[in-house]
Amino acid sequence: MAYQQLERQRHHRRTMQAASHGLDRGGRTLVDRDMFARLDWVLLGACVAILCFGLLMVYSSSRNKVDDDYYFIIRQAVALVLGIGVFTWLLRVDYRKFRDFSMLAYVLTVSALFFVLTPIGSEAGGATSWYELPFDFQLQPAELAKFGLIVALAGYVNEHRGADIDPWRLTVIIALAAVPIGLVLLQPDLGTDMVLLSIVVGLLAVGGVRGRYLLALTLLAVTMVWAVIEIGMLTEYQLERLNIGGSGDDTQGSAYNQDQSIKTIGSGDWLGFGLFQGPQTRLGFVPEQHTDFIFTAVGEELGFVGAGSLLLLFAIVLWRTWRIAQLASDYYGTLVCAGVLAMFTFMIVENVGMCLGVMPVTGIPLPFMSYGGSAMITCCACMALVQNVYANRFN
Amino acid sequence: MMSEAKSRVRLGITGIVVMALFCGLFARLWFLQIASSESFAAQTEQNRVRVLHESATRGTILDTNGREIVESAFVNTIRVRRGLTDEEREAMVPNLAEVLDVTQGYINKRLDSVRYSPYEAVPIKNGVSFDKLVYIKERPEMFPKVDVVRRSVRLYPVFEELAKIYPSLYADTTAASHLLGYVGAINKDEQKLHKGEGYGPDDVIGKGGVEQVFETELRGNPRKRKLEIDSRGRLVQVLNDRPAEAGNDVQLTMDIDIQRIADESLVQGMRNAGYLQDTSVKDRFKTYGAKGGAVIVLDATDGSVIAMASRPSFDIREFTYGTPFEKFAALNDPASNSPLLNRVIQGEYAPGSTWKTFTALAALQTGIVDPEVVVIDRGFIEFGDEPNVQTFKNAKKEAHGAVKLRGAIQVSSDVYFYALGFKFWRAFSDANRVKGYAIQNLARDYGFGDQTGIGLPDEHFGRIPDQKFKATINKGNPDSSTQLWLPGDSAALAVGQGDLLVTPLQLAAGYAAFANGGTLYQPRLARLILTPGGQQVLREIPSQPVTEINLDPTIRAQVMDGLKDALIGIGSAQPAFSGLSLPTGWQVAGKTGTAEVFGKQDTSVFAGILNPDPPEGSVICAHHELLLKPGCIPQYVVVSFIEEGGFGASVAAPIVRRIMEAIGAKVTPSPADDIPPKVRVIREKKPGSGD
Repeated sequence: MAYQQLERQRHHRRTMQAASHGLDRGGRTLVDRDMFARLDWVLLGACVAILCFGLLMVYSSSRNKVDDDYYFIIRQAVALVLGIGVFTWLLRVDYRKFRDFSMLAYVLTVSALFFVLTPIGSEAGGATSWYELPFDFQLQPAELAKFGLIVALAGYVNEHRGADIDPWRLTVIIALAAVPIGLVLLQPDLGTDMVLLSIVVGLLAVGGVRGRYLLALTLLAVTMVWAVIEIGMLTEYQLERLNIGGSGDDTQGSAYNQDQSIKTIGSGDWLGFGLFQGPQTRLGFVPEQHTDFIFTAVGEELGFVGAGSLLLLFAIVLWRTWRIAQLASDYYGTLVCAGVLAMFTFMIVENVGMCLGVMPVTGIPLPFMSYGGSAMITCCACMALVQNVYANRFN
Repeated sequence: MMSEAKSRVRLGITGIVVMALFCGLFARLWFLQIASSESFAAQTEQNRVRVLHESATRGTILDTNGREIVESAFVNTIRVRRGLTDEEREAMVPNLAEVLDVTQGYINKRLDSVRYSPYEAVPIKNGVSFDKLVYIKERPEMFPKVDVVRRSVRLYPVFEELAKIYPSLYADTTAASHLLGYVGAINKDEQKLHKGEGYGPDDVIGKGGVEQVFETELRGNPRKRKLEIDSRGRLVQVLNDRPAEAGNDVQLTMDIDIQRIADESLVQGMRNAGYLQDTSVKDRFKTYGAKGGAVIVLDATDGSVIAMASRPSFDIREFTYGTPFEKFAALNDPASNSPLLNRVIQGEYAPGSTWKTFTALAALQTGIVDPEVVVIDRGFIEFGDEPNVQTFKNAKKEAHGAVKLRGAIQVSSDVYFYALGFKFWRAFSDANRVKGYAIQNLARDYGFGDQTGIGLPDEHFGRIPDQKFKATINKGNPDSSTQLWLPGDSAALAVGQGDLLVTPLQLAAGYAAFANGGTLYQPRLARLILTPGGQQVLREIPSQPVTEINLDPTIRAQVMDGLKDALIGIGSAQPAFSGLSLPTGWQVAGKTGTAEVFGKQDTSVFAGILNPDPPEGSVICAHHELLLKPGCIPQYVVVSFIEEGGFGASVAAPIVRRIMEAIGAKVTPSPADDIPPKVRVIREKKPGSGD
């Protein structure tokens, strides 16, 4: 406990310092300096480093895809600016406010997912999953649903803290989660559904459901995924992306993607071909490389040193998130961090595992790396939650 | 807050799970990038690197005196580049078909063929006239993506010259087809065989003959371009461009003048056989078929091939400029007597009496016969005890009377050699394998029963029969006596009949070894490899002695005397050689052969030796040295085989005689009977000019 006392003193001192420059100005500033002083700088540093990696790699893998070399990188930068905005804005709100308004978050999430299925949403690649925005931007509500589900479910689990989750409450949790999951399934977007499921499993595991329920639930989830594929709710295109029933010599399908992915990473060796020098990346031989297969660009151009460093940075992010889950001042904070931890772990392991040829091919982006605005904003929002929990751990 | 305490434990477990998953990812990353990185880098290179080859100028083939037999020239070729839209193609194909005089289907088939790389233009037609080129070039809107390149093709200058002098004989290029071979578009099997040597789908390759044997020399090095392409197949950069190196010239041992005479004599001999009555049958109007024949002239001193002709033949020029399919089918049809077959190395015949030379050598070397012992030839010989007496008769049923070995060779007495055969068989039945198999063993020493190693593709082996062979070939025959080596087998072998088969080249090489005193040479096709354009000798191809056969000069002389006598006096070939005109001091020897073939007319055979023994005070030298060393005399073996040609003396022997006289006339030239010698012009070749 000596360490915690020491931490508490340091925190107090910082708060005093912050108060001396920030608060005496009389009024709220745009950036809450007090808040920033209390952030987990290791976590933030790791995130910034990954973002830099991400921007470089998106540029490297997308510059020869369209006539304008800077098309994708500019859009990604815009998304990042928006993400930073969301991050800053969320930091200004105490995370416990989310706890109180968790049902609102739930309703908003479900509505967004519902309306995208109506003619308001638009269709691309066989899935109705976008809201068209000005300047050729799109919003993917399923991405934001990840954030919404964490906030909402953590709120419900938190209300019934103090005891193990009994079968009745488990049923309610599953029913609550089933609505957004079902709506996403109607788009259909199985990849995001799997991420949402991982959030549910993570929250339940940390929230205190019994082992056998968890097991039963996992089996149920697997059965569901299987059933969805069998019933044929997915189009050919999505089945291909899931790598089910794919043959080895299919040059256009996912087997080809993964084969190219393995070769591309495998050719990297210790130091890679050098930034912007990777032939597979430069000449566009890995399909979807700037989105789902961005890790292959790192592997090829920066080699084992680069890809390993990136994995280490991700490990730091997960470690700090895990640590913050333990340091949280209340149970809700722990649950929120556990949800984010589960989500990030699943996304990273699935995405990197897919690129390395040990996981099936699914359309799940790599956090902070893959090209895609909605995912970027969601990841920033989730990080804001975690930092928020950290900053308020003594309050 | 019991649950929160518990949730810390649960968080701890979660942390361990996450860590384990990350360790897994690290391990996999390590395995992919470090443990097995080599193969992946090579595999990704296959994605982006395309290697394109462009043939170099093919080398010239020269005869032994440096005359250009086959050379390369460029012709205009119409090509269609890639990237046609469907509408453009629909409009262009009928136009092009009209101008080039081909069917639309033909053009479409070529355009859709998988043989051509999707980065290269598709060649449609070679040798397009200038008018048509201009017409096409001036109308790009009618012929989108159609262009013209210059491509290398083979030319045959000597034959063009001959065609001017003897238009009827040399209208088509057939006089040395089997020896020279031709070039043609590479096929799938050849592509597989030459994988990694840079042959493209539209490249040509030497097929048969010298063109195939010296393919690597003649071809040179193609221009090799390494291109980097992106995932959409667009060219990004040229990684490497190695210029073409023209192919080397090959100087053959063949003498085009002798080749011409040899081929001409063969054709003439075959034609004459068609006028001769077949006396073996009752039908007075039955003449000889003479459907195929072979002639080979070897330099006995070093095994060089001076001439090699096989008939029927084919027009190599047609192969160069593309053979119509139906014509190609006819060439392979047995009904047209297989013109593609090189009978010199692929024809297997019973040698008939020409074999007696080797029987006599075997008998003398084993001491089974005394050359001075007289045998009474009554026209037949009986073997065996009553009542199983077998009777063997002479070919023409005539009785030669009392003959010694020398006389028996001269008049070709079968009875004498049957008697030798029975002696060999008795030794065999006494389990004396050295004496019993003396003919077979000697034949193997002289190269029979095996490929000579001349290098031409698909050379046949011939066949030397013995007891093991009979046991194998008659395996399962209910009559077990067919598996035994019987007296009749020895008798037939002694006169070159029965199961014995030789190729004309084997017989010539064997006779050459006998003539030169016992050195068996591997027949040689070329003697020099020259730099492109022929300015410098790159390297020599030495003659290749295979074995030194133990040949006693006295034994050689005893047999050779018989062979010399065969062409004079009462010799079997005397009619064919009477009035032979040769340079002073030159001698001839030879042996006729008439081989019976089951179900067919006899094969007419003759093996002749020119200058078996040099006269006093002169030396023997190789054919190509004749001009360098005046006064020396050459030594040749000339062998001819005519399928269904009748008696050796009446068909094959005159062919050999004509060739021998032509050789003599060439060495001491008379201006009337020769093609004016052409001074070899050193041409300027642009090395590696592609198009």
